[in-house]
Amino acid sequence: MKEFITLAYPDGTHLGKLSTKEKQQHIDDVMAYLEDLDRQGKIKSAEPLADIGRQIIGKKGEITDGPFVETKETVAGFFHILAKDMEKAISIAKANPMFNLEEGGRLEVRPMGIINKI
Amino acid sequence: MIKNKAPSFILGLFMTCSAQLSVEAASTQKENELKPRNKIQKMTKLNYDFKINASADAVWKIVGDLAACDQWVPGVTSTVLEGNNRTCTTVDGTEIKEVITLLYEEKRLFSYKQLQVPLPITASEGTFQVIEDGHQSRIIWNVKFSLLAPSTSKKLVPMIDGYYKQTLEHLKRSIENNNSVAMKEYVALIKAEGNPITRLPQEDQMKHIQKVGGFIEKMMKEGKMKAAEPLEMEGAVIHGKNGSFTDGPFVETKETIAGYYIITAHDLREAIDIVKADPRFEDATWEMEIRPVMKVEGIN
Repeated sequence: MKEFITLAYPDGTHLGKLSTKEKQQHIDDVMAYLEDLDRQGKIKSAEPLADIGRQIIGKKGEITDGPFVETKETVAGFFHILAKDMEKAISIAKANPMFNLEEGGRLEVRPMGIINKI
Repeated sequence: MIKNKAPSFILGLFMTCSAQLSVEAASTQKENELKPRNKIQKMTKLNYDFKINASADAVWKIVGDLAACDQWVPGVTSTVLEGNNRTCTTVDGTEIKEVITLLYEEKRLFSYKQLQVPLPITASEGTFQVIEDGHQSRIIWNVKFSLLAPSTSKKLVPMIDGYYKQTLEHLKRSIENNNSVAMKEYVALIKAEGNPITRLPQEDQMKHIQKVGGFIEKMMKEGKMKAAEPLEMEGAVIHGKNGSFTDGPFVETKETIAGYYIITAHDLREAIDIVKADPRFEDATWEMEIRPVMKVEGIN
């Protein structure tokens, strides 16, 4: 089994156009999706992120920080999944309920590196 | 701050026993008046070495605040500290009067003498110290006292010992629970243009990796970091809506996420300070986005 991270970039308003009932339905779908993966031992964690935070930029030891601004490229959260290969990881990612929404979104599927694990 | 009070059963036990033993001691003392009393009384000593899963500073912040013993000593509802004199009042209004004989902040230590206690004991004193033990801490608490009536020893000593152990357990629970409740999780998304490490001279790459690896290890040991995951500069992108997909290869951009940390901190400020200490900033340009992890029932 290899480890992958799928980073979620929702399109548009990110659930903003959904009614309360639809939102609840979507959350239920995500929960069912995660429970199913968990039963099969295919997920290690799921981390939804809040739309607030802080940005830190640094180079050559000089560090500045500023407010975090939501953009089109904002990560809404990520999933740490386990799969045999990239192909399987993609099919797990494609089952994500975010793709059933009218606004949809983008998932980036990336293999975990081992560089820092020394 | 710890607001939990002792479970009432501890207190009930304490109060009942102390009342009962006071009576016994009083009657024994009367009998003793006829005999010459020993000048040198045998001291009872109780020593505790108790581990708490929190830093010594965190424990000392609570026990070293001498005016705040009502926040962790079971049964004590208020504390008044005037100079070196401390009066603790228990649930039933009984006053325990003590003198703080030594306070040594640097060693996280204080000693006290009890002038008035609702127990048939005398010459009661103790030293309380919090010491570092790796990432945990230990409380070294040594107490000694004389029994007013030696005949009460069998009942009284185990009772006092039991009460002191409960006090330590109570402190431990409060601190450990408090710690976990107060801590929040933050994700630091590490962004860069491609992978800047590969642009460093060969010999500096390993140095950089080791330096950052050392930082990660230190943060993990201190409980400030839960995970550190580097991501490969490859992968796939899936775009979809209403159940239909387009997918393609992952392409590096100016804002590529190179990895992430999961940070444990009390607040965003602390999380920022942890991230700023990352030595990766010494060698290349990175942008970190620090975002609180949302707690969603059923998801994480």
